[in-house]
Amino acid sequence: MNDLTHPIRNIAPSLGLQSALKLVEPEIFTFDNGLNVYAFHDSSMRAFRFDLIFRAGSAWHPQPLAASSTLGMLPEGTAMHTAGRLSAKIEYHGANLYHMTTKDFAFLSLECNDKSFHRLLPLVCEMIEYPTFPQRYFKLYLKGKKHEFQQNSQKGQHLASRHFNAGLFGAMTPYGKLATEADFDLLNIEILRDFHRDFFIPKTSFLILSGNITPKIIEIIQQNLGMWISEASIPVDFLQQTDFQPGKEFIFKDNAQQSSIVVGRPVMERNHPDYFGFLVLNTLLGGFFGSRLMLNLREDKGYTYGISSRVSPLLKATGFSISTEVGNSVTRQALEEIHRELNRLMDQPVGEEELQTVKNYLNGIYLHALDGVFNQAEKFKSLIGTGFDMSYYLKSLAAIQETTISDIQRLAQKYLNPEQMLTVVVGKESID
Amino acid sequence: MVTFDSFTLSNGLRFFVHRDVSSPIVAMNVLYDVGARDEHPDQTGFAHLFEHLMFGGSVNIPRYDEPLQMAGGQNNAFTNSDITNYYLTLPAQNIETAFWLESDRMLNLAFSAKSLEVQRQVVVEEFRQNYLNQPYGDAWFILRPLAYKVHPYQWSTIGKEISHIEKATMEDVKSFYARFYNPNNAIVSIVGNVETHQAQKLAEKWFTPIPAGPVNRRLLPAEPQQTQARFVETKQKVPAHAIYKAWHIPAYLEDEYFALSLAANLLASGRSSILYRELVMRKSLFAEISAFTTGNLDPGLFVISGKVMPGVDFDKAVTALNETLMRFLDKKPSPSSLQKVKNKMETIEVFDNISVLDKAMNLAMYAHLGDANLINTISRKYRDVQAQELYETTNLFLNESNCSTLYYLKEDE
Repeated sequence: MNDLTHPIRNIAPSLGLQSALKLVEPEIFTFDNGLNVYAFHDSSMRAFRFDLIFRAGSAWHPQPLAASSTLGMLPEGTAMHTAGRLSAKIEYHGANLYHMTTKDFAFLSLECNDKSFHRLLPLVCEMIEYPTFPQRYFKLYLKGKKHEFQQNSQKGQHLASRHFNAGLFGAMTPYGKLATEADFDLLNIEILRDFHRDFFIPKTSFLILSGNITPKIIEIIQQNLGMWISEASIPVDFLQQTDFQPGKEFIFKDNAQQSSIVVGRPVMERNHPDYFGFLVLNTLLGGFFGSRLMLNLREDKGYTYGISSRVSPLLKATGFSISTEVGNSVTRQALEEIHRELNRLMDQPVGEEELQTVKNYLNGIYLHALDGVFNQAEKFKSLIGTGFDMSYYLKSLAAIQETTISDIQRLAQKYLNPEQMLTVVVGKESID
Repeated sequence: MVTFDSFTLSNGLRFFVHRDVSSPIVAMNVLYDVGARDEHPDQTGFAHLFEHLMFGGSVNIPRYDEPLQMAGGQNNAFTNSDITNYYLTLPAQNIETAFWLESDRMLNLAFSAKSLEVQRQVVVEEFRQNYLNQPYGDAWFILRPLAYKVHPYQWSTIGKEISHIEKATMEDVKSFYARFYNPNNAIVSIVGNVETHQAQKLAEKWFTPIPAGPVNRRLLPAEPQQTQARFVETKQKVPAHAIYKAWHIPAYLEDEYFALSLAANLLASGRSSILYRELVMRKSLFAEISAFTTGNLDPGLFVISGKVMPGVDFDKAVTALNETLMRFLDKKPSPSSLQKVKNKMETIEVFDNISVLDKAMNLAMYAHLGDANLINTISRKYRDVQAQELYETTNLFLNESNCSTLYYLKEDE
């Protein structure tokens, strides 16, 4: 009865050697107009992705909402097509157009199949070069965004992270500026036109392609985006003088079913020698399902559906934050447990097996996150503007594997002291 | 083209294997044929609560996550009305760890009292976070029982109410496991750089010793045909008035389903869609509008929902929505608009089958539907829909007597 004999089940199968990352550097071109192009090529792909990245994030804008509205208005009409015609054409080809603004950048992305790209590219070029910002659609756009803003303002987690962000960088600094509902009424088309003219320029923009990038496709892009001209000069870089004050901020929300909590501080930038080690420390603390915060607050105490910590690097500053939503009645206890975990990392060395688990886990994450040209292009996107190339990820993974127990404790003592953190709580359980 | 092999073990467990040599990662998906529709009306939310307990330790392995993370892997799971689905990815050289972990929790659980107690609380917090602490978060708790009078789709996967989750006992947990978590009630798919004979050898080693369980016959009450329009109104603290309309439609894979799914796309997918163009762009009556089919394995719903633009009269917005819908039903879609939504389906198919994990999840789901090769052919079903057929089908189903309407109104300030 061979089929009823169980294999040994209480010992894990032995593990293979960690696999090395196999990375391809993108092919790089610079067009005559200064636009930098990065191509991640795989001839077997039918899916095609196109990401245009402008140095036109919210840190650059003259007043709140200007950056995201300028980008958001590009598909609302060009000198050649109305908004309706643009979307009809793009959607006819089964394609999707996305736009997103971060603090550093504005992203305009197109997903389509390789057959239709050449028909869609001219439309995207029009949006970048000849947007018309029609008044009627601008009003409509603002109304829709205001509605979204009001809806988000009723979400505890959203409110908490907005307030945290202002406190993290300083509300008067480029990264910390916060939009309010009143800002929707202060915006006008002239502001968007000026912002478009000054910041959507080829010299400071990047194009990332992923999919089956034939020479023909490069030629078409050259004929379109390669001809994009702008008279504007490169804008003077902004100064981010982070103004962070640790402390506590409580925002009362009468119908809250849970308390939304964010705890964190600014940390080192990406080129700092502590950065990669801090990634390991962050993972251990709250960066994966087996993290200390998750095991304590969720798996042991049941205070929350989830808790996580993250490192959010920008070009001129890096944020570190822990966020969670917990039952009203355990708000205080949850904050205590978060502090306990921070103190424990400062006071006691981590276990060897725990550290090894995190290293192996991160090795798997890197393999996964860099699997295939689409993922590689995505990871490359987060390096734009830093001067790093794809070898950054090899260096990062090597540094992660070399991180020691004493590195972890040293970094915890340097960066995770609860007294140096800002805590924001939105809910109806006061924390004082 | 996703080519695959399949084999079945003596205990009834079915495997589907697709080799993808380009990836260093292998994905395993384990689908159990049990969902919220299999719950007792007084114990709703149980299938989902159970999904949490599957991570609380199995008979020989105290914690599921730790060894997987040590092997460089990650995992997650989801439950819906129809199925419970577990999936993981890890570096291909550690594939045996996946077989070891998944077979042990199919063999038996540790049934720890602590895990049950904690996960009950975790799910209660999930309930609060995703449904109660969000504007409009409870809309489906009102809409489902309005549309379904007898079928279990009348409750949400998270459960009808928090108390059902709080009351779950260890005895309930054990009998649920004994009934549904058996090899003959599951499908495993594997995608990555693995050959079928290797996968089969590992499958036999780890899964064959697990005994088959009882055969479940699903005897769910069929929802009787709705003959009269249904309507309910609620007033809450939300930023704007909203409307939800739901019509009964056939199950996923029924012939009519594909025409209805395309119709939902024609109505509200993208800025060139009919409702968006008319109600958002042209008349500015709505801030958001959406339409979709639920795609359930038993007869599901066709849903249109919209948030009214603040300041706009609610009745005026509703009238415009109904009129626009009537005009849509009144004539066949144009050839170009039909082609547009078919093209969209094709793009979705292309983007949906890139990663090893997506392919593994799709393979298992289509195998569960009865034909794993649907992963390659499903877009044909959309492509074959004719304008006349779409016209007739939408008129057959999208009428008021088959509709449940929810007015979700903003409280006066």
